[in-house]
Parts: sequence; C-alpha cells; structure tokens
Amino acid sequence: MKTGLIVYMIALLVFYLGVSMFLPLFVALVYQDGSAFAFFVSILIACCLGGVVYLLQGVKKIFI
Amino acid sequence: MTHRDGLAIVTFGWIAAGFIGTLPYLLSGSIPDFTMAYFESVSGFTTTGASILKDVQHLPPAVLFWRAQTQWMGGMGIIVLSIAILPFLGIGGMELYKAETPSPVVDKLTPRISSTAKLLWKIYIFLTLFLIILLLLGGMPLYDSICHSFAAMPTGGFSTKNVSVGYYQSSYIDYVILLFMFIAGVNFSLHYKLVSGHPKQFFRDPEFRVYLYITVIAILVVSANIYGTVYPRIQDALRYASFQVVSIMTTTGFVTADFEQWPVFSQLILFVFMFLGGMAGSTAGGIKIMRIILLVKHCYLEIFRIIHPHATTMVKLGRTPVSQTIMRSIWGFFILYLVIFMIGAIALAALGLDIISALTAMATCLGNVGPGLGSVGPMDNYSVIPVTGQWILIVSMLLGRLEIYTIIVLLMPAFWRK
Repeated sequence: MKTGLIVYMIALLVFYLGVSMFLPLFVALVYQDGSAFAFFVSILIACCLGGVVYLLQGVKKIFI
Repeated sequence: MTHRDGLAIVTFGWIAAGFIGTLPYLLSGSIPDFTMAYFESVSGFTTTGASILKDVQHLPPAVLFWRAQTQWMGGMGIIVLSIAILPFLGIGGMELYKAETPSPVVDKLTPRISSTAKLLWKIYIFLTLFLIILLLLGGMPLYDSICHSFAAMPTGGFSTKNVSVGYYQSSYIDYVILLFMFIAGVNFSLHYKLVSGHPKQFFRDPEFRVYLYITVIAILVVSANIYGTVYPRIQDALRYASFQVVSIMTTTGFVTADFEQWPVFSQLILFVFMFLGGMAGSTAGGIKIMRIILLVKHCYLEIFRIIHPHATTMVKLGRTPVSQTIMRSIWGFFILYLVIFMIGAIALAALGLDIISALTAMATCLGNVGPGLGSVGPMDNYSVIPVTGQWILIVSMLLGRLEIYTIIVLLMPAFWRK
C-alpha cells in the first residue's frame, strides 16, 4: 500500500473541490446573497489544505 | 498503482469530499450542525438527494447552487473527473476507474482510460447543457434550470424549491425532466455508441430493453392504480405516475406528487423500485438492472438444472456468456446489499423510527434515491432522524454509491497486510 500516493491523490482532489467552489462564489457575487465570504474562506481552506499536502508529498517524493 | 491503492484512494477520497463539501454550509450558517452539514454534503456527492433542510427556498442561492453542483460532480464520479483532467492519472487510472464505477462489467470505450473518462464527461456535459436549454424554453428561470439540470443528470434530486419539481406545475417541465432522468439511467457507453453511429446497438442491448420494459409496465400499472382513486383525469394519472416511477427507479428522487397519498399498491411498487436502480454504467444507484437480469437468469438455470441435471448451461447476457466469477461477485453483492439494508433498518428502528420510515430511509439512502415514506416521505425531510441514525444513513449512502465492495474490502484486515 502506497500511503504517500493515497495522500497525494486525496490532496489533489481536495484542491480541485476548492477550485470548483469558484462557480458558487460567482453565483454569490451575482445574487449578493451574503454567502460570498463563506465561499471565499471555503476556497482558501480547501485549496491551501489540498495544495500544501500535495506539494509536501511532491517534495517528499523528490528529496526523500 | 495497485488495485488496493485504487480502492483506498476512492473510498478516502469520497469521505474527504464529504468533509470539504460541508465548508460552505457551515461557514455560511445555512446548516450550523456538523452532522447535518456532512449528511447534506454526502447526500449531494453520492447523488442521493436526501435532505435535512426544512425550507430550502430561504437559503442563499449560492448555497443551493453548491448543493446542486456537488450532485453534478458526484454523478459521473469525482475521481473519474480527475482522471479526465489529469493526463498523468492515465497510468493506474484504470484502478481508480474500476474502484469508483464498479459495475459488473467495466466498459472501456477507448484504449486509454483517460480518454474514456474524457468521453464520458463530454457526453455528460452535452446532456446537461441540452437539458438547461430545454428547461429555459419551458419558462424555468436560468438559475433554476441550471440547478435542476445539475440535479437531474446525475440522478441526484436536490431542488431549489421546497416541493421539488412540483412547484412549477408544468407538464412540459415534468416530461422534459422525466426524459432526462430516464436518459441518465441509461449506460453512458450506450450513449457513446448512439452518437458514434451505432444506434442499433442501443436498442439491441438486453439491459436497455429490460430497463425500458420495466419502466413502461410500472408506469401503466401505477397509472391504472391511481386513476380514479387519486386523479380523475387519465392524463394526470399518467403524468404523475410516469414522473414518480422514473424518478424513483433512476434513483433521482425529484417529486411532483405526494405519493404517500397514493394507494398502498402504488407505494409498494415505488418501494420495490428503490432497490432496482438504472442500468450499469449510468449515474443511477441501486442494485442495477444488469445484476437483476443475471440473478433472475441464474435462478432460472438452477431450476432448469433440477429438471435436466446433466445439461451444460451458462448464464448469458444477450449472446455473451457470463463467467462464474462475475456471477459469484453479483450474488455476493446482492446478499451484502440485503444484509446491510436489514441491519441498517433494524438500527434505525432501534433509534425510535417507525417501521415504514426505518425501512424506506435505509432503502433510499442505500440506493441513493432520496425520498422515502413515513416521516422521510416526499414532503418531509431527514432532520427528524436522530444523530446516530444520520451517521448510519451517511455510511449507507457511501456504501450505495461505491457499490459496497469498494468500502467493505477496506474493513478486512487482509487488505492492510503487506
């Protein structure tokens, strides 16, 4: 079982889900329904979490 | 990438997607409770359409859009989406593809799995866009059209209205959505054959023919049952019966009528259909028509063998013989499905749910349908279920979406041994 690969793939998925939230963010901005900040923070959390884990796995793959 | 890696990635990926999906609900305050937010998120990604929300019309449009979008992404498979987007996932992508779309027979439309994934997503996007246009032509606002298309194509069922599609009171909208729910319940490789110039294969497919016959027969039977008793006009009986039969059978879960008010006979047919599902390789949940056909054929052959003990027989799907390995896998799936259903229903009953609610809640969540009967009926929601019950249903939704084996295998100690 390649744990590193599993973490790498899930991190990528989390990052993607974060990116996919741009669409509802756009809807929130169009409708001005007050949820834009929630989507902005959600994108930040998902992209940062996914991105950092993804990059860390990548670094591990190169140097370790 | 090994098969084990694929199974672990898909299972943990779906669990992680559920967690990420809760963020907009929690941060916007639309669903402040974590369990409820996770329930809604998993219900979206698994295209179940079971909701804990009492009043969706008062939620911010962007939150409802996200709710529909989770279904759209989950319908074709979030991992399949990654395979389609990332070319480097072509290596080992087959393991991920098989783990996420574990139909009895894996359809590989092109030699490269990433090309297959791209092709499936292209068909999916085209059908979604086509549905949006048709709904717009029917007078549905753009936002509602997108949200309903995002929920219909993956056979999800989340609506932007409290009374679901019934809100529009339009036979045109009902029939357009009905048609696309039916299309979504068809194997996507058949759609590919249709557009690639092989339309005859579409109608020659034995699974498609059974899917079509079952749907037509059920519509006629339910229409006959509710005509006169619930609806005085035959066209109304046909309209509401066809919509509900297709909606439940394809595991979409949209509602145009409160079928709890229908005679018990019709309700029982809908309950049985919560188990059936659409075709293998479609976005529908449930046991799937292909498995039902093969199980029935196998039972028939066993009876035949009692009469002719020396006969050499083999289960066939069309003209293709089905191996014993696949038959064993299908029987195993069927038994596991029923065992999980029974254990879940008993657990829900132990938490205080009445028998109808416990049975149908478990059946709809395991089959990724959405509305059940009793306290989880078409006009009710899942907020009445206790927290433990909601977690049982969350696990059921994931088990149903990943077709049981993908998750169950992770619970085996042998899976984790080197």
